[in-house]
Amino acid sequence: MTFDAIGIAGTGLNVHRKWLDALSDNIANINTAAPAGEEAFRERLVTVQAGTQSPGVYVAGVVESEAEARLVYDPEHPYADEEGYVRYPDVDLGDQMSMLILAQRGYEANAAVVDRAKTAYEAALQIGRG
Amino acid sequence: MLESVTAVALSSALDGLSLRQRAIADNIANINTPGYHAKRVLFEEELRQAVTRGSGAAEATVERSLEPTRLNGNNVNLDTETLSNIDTVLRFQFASQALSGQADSIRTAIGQASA
Amino acid sequence: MSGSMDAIAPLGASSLTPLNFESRVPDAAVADAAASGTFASTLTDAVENLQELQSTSNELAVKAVTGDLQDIHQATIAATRASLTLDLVVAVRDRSVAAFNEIMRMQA
Repeated sequence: MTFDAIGIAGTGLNVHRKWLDALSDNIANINTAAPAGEEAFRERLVTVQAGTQSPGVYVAGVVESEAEARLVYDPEHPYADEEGYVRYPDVDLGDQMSMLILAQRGYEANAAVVDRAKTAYEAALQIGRG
Repeated sequence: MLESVTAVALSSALDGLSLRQRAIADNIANINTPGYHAKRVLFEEELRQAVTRGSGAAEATVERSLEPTRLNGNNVNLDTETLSNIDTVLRFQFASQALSGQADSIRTAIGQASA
Repeated sequence: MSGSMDAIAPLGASSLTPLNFESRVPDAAVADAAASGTFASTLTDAVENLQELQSTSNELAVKAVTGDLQDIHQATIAATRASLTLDLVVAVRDRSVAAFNEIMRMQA
């Protein structure tokens, strides 16, 4: 695009937004027990890579974590298996919250770049005007 | 006057950019409308070819984005629209200035003080 | 005052140096001046380059609006250059015409 810095920051905004989406998905499902015999919710991970052809960052994919479920002993629970364990997602709330802050800061930083670049381009448009 | 390829191209660009502005406003207004697909305005490629042909006049076309949708069938991305808005506004500003500059040059050559 | 007035003795043309508008500058000096980049050469360059500057400015303007130009300032600087050069060329044209008219009036 003509205003390149804005486009590049745009890719940053996109990536961080996807990250925020994944994190909110993880946090929403943090206590989603899986019925006996089913797999528990797996943590969503966003893989990104720096652009090769064009500058910026791009989402390579959204994958599910390899981590298996967290087993909690609760024989009374409707979802308990024969041994009395219930399968919960192996997602750590602390981790998710710190990543949430990183994602938010990253998003804001990219938004600031857009803002500054816009001011710079406006200055360029003023060149030569008396 | 102002019939040169450049002047006509700038004028076509202004038309296209203005149409894009409206499409962006439409998209943002419909950001939560189920089933709504973002509108996209295309004119750059058409304009490029028109200039190469020596005409400079290009018509803008509107189509719907085929990007993946969210659960409610809506695929408007607020970041994309916001950035597109900024880009469109800046380019519109540039194009109006440039077109105005073309007129000023003609006036200078004729011999009047420019407005 | 008394005394007869002498007739004014004709001075004769020979004692007057002719007023010459077109006093010739020795050729060597002219060559020197051109070589060292005088105002005259700046003006000639301006006239010759105007076409090119305008063409470049137009090209960059079109590229900017079709989204093919990465640095918008290139377009605005080119436009400024072309505009200033046009102003210069037109000013010279106008002043030259005015000077010419001035001279024509004097000779009348």
